[in-house]
Amino acid sequence: MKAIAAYKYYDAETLQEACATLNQYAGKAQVLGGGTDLIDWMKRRFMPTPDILVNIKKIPGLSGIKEEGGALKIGATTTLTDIIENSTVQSKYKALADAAMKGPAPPIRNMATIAGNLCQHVRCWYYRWPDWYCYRKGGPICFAPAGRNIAHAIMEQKVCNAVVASDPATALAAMNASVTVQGTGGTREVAVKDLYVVLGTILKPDEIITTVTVPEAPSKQAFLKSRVRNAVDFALVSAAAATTSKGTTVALGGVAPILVAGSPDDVNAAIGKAAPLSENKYKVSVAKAMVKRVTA
Amino acid sequence: MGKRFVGDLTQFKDKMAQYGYSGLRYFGQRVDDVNGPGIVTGTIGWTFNVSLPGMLVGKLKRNPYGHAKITSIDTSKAERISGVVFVGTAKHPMFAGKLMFGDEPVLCDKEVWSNNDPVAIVAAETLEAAEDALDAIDVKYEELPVEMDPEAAASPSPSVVQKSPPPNKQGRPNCFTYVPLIYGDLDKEMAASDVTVEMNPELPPDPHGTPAPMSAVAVWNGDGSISVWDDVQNIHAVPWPTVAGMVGLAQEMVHFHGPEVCAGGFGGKNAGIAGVYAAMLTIITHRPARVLYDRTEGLLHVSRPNWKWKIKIGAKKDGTLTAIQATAYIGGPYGRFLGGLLERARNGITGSYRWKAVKYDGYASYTNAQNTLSYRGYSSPETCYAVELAIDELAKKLGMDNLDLRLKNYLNEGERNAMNEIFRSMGEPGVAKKIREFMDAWGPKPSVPDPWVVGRGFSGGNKYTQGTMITNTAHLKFKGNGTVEIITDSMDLGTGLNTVWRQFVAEGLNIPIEKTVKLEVNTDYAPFTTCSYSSMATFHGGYALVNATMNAKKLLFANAAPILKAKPEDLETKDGKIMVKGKPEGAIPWSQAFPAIPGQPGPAEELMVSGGIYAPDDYQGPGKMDPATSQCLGPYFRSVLFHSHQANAAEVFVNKETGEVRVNKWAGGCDLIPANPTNVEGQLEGGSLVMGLGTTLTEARWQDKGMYLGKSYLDWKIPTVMDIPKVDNVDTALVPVWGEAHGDNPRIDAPFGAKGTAEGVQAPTAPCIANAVADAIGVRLTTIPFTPDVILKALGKA
Ligand SMILES: Cc1cc2nc3c(=O)[nH]c(=O)nc-3n(C[C@H](O)[C@H](O)[C@H](O)COP(=O)(O)OP(=O)(O)OC[C@H]3O[C@@H](n4cnc5c(N)ncnc54)[C@H](O)[C@@H]3O)c2cc1C
Ligand code: SF4
Repeated sequence: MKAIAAYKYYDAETLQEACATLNQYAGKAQVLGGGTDLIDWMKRRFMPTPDILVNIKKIPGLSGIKEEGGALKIGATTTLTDIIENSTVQSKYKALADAAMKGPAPPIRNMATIAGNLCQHVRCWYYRWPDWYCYRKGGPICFAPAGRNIAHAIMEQKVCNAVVASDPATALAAMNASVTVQGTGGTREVAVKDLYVVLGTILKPDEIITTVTVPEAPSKQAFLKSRVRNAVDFALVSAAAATTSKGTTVALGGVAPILVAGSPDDVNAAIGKAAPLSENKYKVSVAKAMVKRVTA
Repeated sequence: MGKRFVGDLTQFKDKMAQYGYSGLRYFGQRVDDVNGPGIVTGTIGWTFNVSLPGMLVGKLKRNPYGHAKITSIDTSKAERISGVVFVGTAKHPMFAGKLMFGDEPVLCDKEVWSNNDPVAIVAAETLEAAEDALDAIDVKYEELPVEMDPEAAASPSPSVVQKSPPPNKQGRPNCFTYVPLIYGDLDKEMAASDVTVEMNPELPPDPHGTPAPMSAVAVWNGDGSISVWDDVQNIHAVPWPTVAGMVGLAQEMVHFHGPEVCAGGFGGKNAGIAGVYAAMLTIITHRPARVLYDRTEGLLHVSRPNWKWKIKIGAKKDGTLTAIQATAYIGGPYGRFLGGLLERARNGITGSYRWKAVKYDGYASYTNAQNTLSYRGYSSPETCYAVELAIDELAKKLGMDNLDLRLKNYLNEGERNAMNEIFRSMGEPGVAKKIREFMDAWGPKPSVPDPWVVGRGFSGGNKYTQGTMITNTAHLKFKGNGTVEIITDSMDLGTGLNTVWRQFVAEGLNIPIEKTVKLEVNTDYAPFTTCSYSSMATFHGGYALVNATMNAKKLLFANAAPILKAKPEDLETKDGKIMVKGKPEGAIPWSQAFPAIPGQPGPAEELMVSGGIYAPDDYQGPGKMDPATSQCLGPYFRSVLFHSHQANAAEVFVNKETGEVRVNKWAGGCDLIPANPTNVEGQLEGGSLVMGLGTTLTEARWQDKGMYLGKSYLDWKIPTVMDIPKVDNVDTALVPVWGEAHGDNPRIDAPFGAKGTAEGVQAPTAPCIANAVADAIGVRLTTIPFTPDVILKALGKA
């Protein structure tokens, strides 16, 4: 058992309140969704313990799934289990249900929120333990290239080689989904595929994801995930494809610190330019094969 | 549900009845685990359920590096944290000693040899305070070069000499244990072979992965004695003397309690080191103290060592095996059980086959890999992995069916093996044939959609449990109300031992199992029966218990004879009554035959009878083993207690694009008279299939310069229920073997024919899955685990 160092806890009742509190703590606060990622961080103490957790689960209207004008709207605190069990998602957005299903195990899915899933921290094993002070934590170097990197990025690496860990993100990016982000200064809409930047997400310290929107039910869709173990295992590579009125979009997870998404040709071209590390060349073959499969 | 084969036990039933046992009314039956409800509800006496008022939380500050010099340790900040009661380092005389083989500091203060080595200890009122204190202890290190390769470490000129003075076995400065076996003329037999196979199988470290990490509670009793509860697999052999020795108390001043059920051991809880720290803290603070490892410590404190094999085997054209040369390199930061591992590997190399010449060299050297202990089958799986891979390749080279090749070369009952031991209770041919029959019944390989391919594999296996033959004692306490209390040590590790021992006593005395009770295992009243390691508790303890029931009957019958007006040999017992054979009318209760206390009217209220000292009828000890050749000298000397055998078959699907491997079908069996078929099947499914699958396919052990990366159950991937074949696709076989050469006495060689079946059943699993993967992809992989990157590399795709 690991103990959590002392922190403050705040149940926000409105989004405005939540954003204001986040703003006040200027980067030293964390939004609390299901806590399945955050609490692990605080127990292992691989990053400084946040001063305060701002629970957003009590804010009315943040949870739930509905169809609105042909689009699917998922509230930020909707759990992965709710998504998997929702009949609309199952019938029209199956790639998302599959991605959530192939994500964490049922007890975690019952707690984990969709926004928390998108914002979860990377799973790099150097990052997740206090023993390595790496670049992403503010340290001087990334340990992966000269160390062990079987699960790391094969493309788009800049200063960090960790990969986007979320499976739903891959499915959502293929479906051209976006997230609504609210901060103290108002709201904005961000495409899921643009959510990630090399060292995290584009969210500012006072910002909260409020809704995930899938603009259109795909006419054809698929999600695939390769992993060492058949459950409780992050993707070595995940791939999704969705065909809509805008054409086919393919997205790849597990290969880069950002989401790799675009037309099949774009994504294949990106794989062609992959720069694998010492131990993860196999991911190039896996990614190629999976793109072929999801678009077949 | 797949096939559940249990061989016909009828002939044994009659024999058992003839010898005055119940005739398999209780033994060989599917009895529910007596601890089942307690395990399911959590009320069982797990060690971590022990909680005492005012108990302190003990935590160890662990070293993160593979190998480093400690330049300073500053505990001053930690000492000032509120709730912290004690902070200790090796400067404190209590923590200045060395553990186990005398090469392992209780707390390190100069150098750390492996990731997770403890450097300081904290006792605090709460876990929070303890963890804050650990964070506040400032240890400065200077990293040193690491050596992770046990072969390089064993070199005559290694890059670093780990310890001073160098142990220098066989002219190898880092090598501290060498185990040889020499039999026959290796060069001649190899040269006379028509076909040879050479390979270098490797099994990297893999932690035990127990369901609960180590824990211990200790309390200072005020009279100078301490009580210790430790989540261990045995108490008498290692943990009790270790704890007493390390805290400088006489053993009788340490009241040592085992758990009601040990929360998983797999070899990793044989030393009980958490108990040493808890005992030290309670002596220093005079408060009860608990040391409970967290999951990370659970994965880091012990592991299988890295096994590197060089193996060469030869055969004649007709498939007759000729010679085997096998060299094993293993390593770890401290001596611990490594010599024991090499000895058991020697035993495994020797059988189950008939070799004309054998040369085995086992080297254990100092490396900076994870600390070790006995592990999931005590070397048998690692040894069978090397041998059975080579046998599979040999069959291919000879163009022979791999079962035919094996059957042609298995040793016979009563034959002497390459260690000059008489080979007993040989059931391997029967098991191998049965498992092959199951595999054949699967029909032709299924067609699977591209990019998946299918492969099938087969492997035999052996587990030769080595051990002393004279250290087992069991007490039975007969109560006036017809119940019998079993007083022994040895832990049930979730294996069902508490149930099986009751079955032994019920069978021996012909009483319902409900009339037997196994008491708590502790050193205050339990004798040294045996240890729950190396699959030996059923065998060893079973002997003691059968012997105790025989002694009890002798005594009871002698006392009952005058009352029943018959000769003792004409009496029998059933359901707590004694009667003339076949005449239940005149039966008297046992209690009437309890011996009288002189000067008191009537029999005593209770009767205590002991049993033990195992010596099979062909054991004419003491004999000895020639250390230079490992040959058993004297006509009957044996180093192996009992020979048990297994076989596995598997069907795997391999995805040639993603490198994923899934086991679709599996069959596993072993040779024994099952004390409890359900338990044995559970061992086969859990111990053989799940653990074997994990170590072969998923449990990669990542480290970077000796710093382990897989420190959670997410990064160290034990299989989940989604990784094992469906229940319908799992077949098991329990093939009875009694031992032909032993005549009719059911006590000979294995008590009631029950051999240990715990971790040993894993022996054929890794080679079987490896053989199946080789069949599927057409490439022979020799280093486990076969994670996707490994498969794709083998296919030229990485
Ligand atoms: C054993 C295990 C296995 C797993 N396997 C997988 C897997 O295979 N695939 C996969 O996709 N995931 C996997 N996960 C990750 C899991 O899905 C995430 O932990 C979970 O989705 C996080 O959701 P949460 O609501 O609990 O987030 P929290 O832990 O509450 O938060 C995570 C992060 O998101 C931030 N956050 C939360 N909500 C918002 C919001 N509305 N706006 C802005 N920021 C927010 C938090 O501040 C925090 O930084 C696994 C997790 C575990 C523990
Ligand atoms: S990959 Fe990123 S998270 Fe991992 S060690 Fe490098 S910088 Fe840190």
